[in-house]
Amino acid sequence: MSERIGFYICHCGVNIAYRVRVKEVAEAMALAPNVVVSRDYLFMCSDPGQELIEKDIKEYDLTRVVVASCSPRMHEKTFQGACKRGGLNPYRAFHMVCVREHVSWVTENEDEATKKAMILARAGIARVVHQHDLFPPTFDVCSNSLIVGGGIAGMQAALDIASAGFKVYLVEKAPTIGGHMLQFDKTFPTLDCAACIGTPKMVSVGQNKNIELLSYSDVLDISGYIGNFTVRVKKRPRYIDMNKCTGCGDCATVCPVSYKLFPAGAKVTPYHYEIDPEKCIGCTLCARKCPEKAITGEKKKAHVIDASTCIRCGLCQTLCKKDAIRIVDEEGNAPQPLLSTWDAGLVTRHAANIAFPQAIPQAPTIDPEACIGFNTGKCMKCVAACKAEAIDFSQKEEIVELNVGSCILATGYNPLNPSPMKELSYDACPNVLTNLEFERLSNATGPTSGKILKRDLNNPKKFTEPPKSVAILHCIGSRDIRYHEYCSRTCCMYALKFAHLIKDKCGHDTEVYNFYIDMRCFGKGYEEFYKRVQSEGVRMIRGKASEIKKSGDMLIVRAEDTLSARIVEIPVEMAILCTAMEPREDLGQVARTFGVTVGGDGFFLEEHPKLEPVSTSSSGVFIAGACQGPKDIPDTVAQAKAAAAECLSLSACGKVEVSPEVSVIDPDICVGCQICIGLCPYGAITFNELKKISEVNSAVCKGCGSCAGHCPSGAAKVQHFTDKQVLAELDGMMFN
Amino acid sequence: MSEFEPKIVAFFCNWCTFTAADLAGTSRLSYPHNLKIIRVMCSGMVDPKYVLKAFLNGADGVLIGGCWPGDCHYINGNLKARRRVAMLTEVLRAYGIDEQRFWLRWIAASDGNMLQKIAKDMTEKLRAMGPSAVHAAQIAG
Repeated sequence: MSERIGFYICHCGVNIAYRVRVKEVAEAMALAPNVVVSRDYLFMCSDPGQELIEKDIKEYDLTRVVVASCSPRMHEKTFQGACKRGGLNPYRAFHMVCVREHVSWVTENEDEATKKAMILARAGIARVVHQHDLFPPTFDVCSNSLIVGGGIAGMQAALDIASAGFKVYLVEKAPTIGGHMLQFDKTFPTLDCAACIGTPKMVSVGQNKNIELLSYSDVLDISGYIGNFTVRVKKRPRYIDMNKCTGCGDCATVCPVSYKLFPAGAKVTPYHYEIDPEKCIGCTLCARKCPEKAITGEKKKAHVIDASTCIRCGLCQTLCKKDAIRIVDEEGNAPQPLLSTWDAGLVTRHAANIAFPQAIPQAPTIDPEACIGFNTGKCMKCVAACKAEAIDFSQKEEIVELNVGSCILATGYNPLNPSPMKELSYDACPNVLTNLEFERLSNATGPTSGKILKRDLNNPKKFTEPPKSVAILHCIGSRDIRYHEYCSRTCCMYALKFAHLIKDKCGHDTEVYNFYIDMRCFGKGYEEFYKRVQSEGVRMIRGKASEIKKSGDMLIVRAEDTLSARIVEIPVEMAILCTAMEPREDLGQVARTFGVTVGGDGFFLEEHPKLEPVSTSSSGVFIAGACQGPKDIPDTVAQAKAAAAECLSLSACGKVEVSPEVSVIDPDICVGCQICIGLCPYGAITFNELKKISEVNSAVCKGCGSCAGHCPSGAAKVQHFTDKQVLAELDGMMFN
Repeated sequence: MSEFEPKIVAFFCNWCTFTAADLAGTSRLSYPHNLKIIRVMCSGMVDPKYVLKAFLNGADGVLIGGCWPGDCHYINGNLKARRRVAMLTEVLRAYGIDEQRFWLRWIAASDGNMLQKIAKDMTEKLRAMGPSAVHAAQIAG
């Protein structure tokens, strides 16, 4: 049967037609081999455009259809659908030529653009006649879902999927779910407290029988395809028997260790305690209290610690009123203190630690790099204190295998570390705080029980009195080409919230200055909140602060006030840096594990910025929350619900059609050299000993073509990208 | 030779470089019309004979575009492309084709600017080099 091709070029309104003379292309293609009808149309993707194709298939008895319009990544499926409705096999009949993204939008000259469009159209017409019937195989979908990340996005998505009756595995890296939202104090613009709206979600997740929570765990790898993934998850040992632990927290209370005593798995600590003879007054307190009797000395004379009997519990250091005891290694370096991640590093934690009173799961973890008992078998204070006998140092990491049909990545963000910005004196001045530190300071579960207090300049772990003046610096690392070009979207609003909280808690006579570039109060109720905070007497200075200098007990913030065109230097007692939301440090690793693309901003890239905001380049893997880009809580929750809907539509349907564009090996040509077996990244090719040839398991093959690109005999080929098809396209491109 | 316009055939992987070309379009980053794209699923599926055929058909340059190492949608297809390109370069010499006409580049899906730059650079380079032997024969008729 001779081929009968229909060719269509789209104007795309003016998007293509403003640069490509579409009528001229249609006229030229009418003369191309096998073309029986050639048309141009204003919007091919519209219903009338598609109906035009369907009508022509019947009227002209078309066997093939070529549409020259936008990228195939945009509308290939649309036109394949039209061909299918017209009674043709969409893979055999249809080829799409991109003349918008690859021609009209990137070519300045009209003649050149028109010529390039013709060349690409001819190449497409040459290719299409070599295409074959293909039938997408259908597979059953495993109705379980995996969610990575237990912040507000992960929790919300888990609850939505679970309430529809499907199983969810929620994997969280930290010992508790909750994420950054639960660290916050109040939430803008309504000022309801983050814990009040967040902890009920955590409890629901913990209690839902359809949600299996894997906290303190990491995803190792994932294999399979949409609807049928196998995921391996590593559960790190907490050294706590979760079946026995009651969550009382007694172990954390008695634990004496707040240093990383055994760094990088060292079984013998390199650190020892010593007493400064200059400072020691010989009060004997430490010697009397030392549980190991390792301290000796006469009354009113300097004491000494015997390093061989001392177990490094550090009780002496806590008791010493003269600050005479220090811990160092042979070279005089102090160990790393265990900073509380939950309290943004404002205070230290113990080796046995429970993040916060409402943690889910309500169980502590024991840090193997700090715990004395774990490494030396001494101390054992927690073991003695635990009435439930839940402490178990013999625990090992455990690897579990999960079967899921869909995945949601909700891995969140990192706040930028402002230490490298030396001009802001973050490391040098204890009262220059980051936004997260301020959230903890203002939070009732924080180190000051919610009182906004300055830090002692000599001892940053000590909090003194409320500040009388505070500067809030917007856009630290955001909208700044040295760090991140993007806007972090939340800072303007939480800066206003901070201003309100300071006025509320420290008194209305406290001066609050906001240094901003532009105020971006775009959400529902946001502008109203801005007006309210302004009316509370907060000073707004339009200009990005350039420097924070120390001047005695005060900080001097220097900025250009761009509204009055002068440089201002304002003395304050506390400064808050509104730092950028950054991609997490391990985002690249997660992207590789799940085959998800990363965008120019470093966050996960969605399939389409407007129409596929939660899909990714990996079918069956969806994204939600700040791992896709900076966003506030309402947007995060909305996106989580969208991602949950994507998983549910797969699980509820129970079937998924996968692409037939996979490899096949021609059994008549294959010589059984088995090179392809070593090249296949998915283990999809096996050797048939009986027939002495290699065979592809099409359910496992993803169609990368590693085998086809190399096969010395030309037996392996990717369907829809065969040699004939690619070479015909090439010929069509070159000889016109 | 001032009117010589090089013909460049580009084999772009669907996930990174083809997407980057779409992004260059959406961002209206214009580049020379000489570059014409053939979509493949992965740079690792580009059979050496496609490249040879392109040159024998009169291409002045061939560009293979793939994901950055480590970012391949199919785990490591791009590394197989790199290995194959190294060997193919040897073969090209035997055919008398200057290896500078054959480029392999990693272009991320988010990097429309890089695509524009490479298209410009390659066109300029090939303009300076003049037509390939096959193309010269075609021009001479």
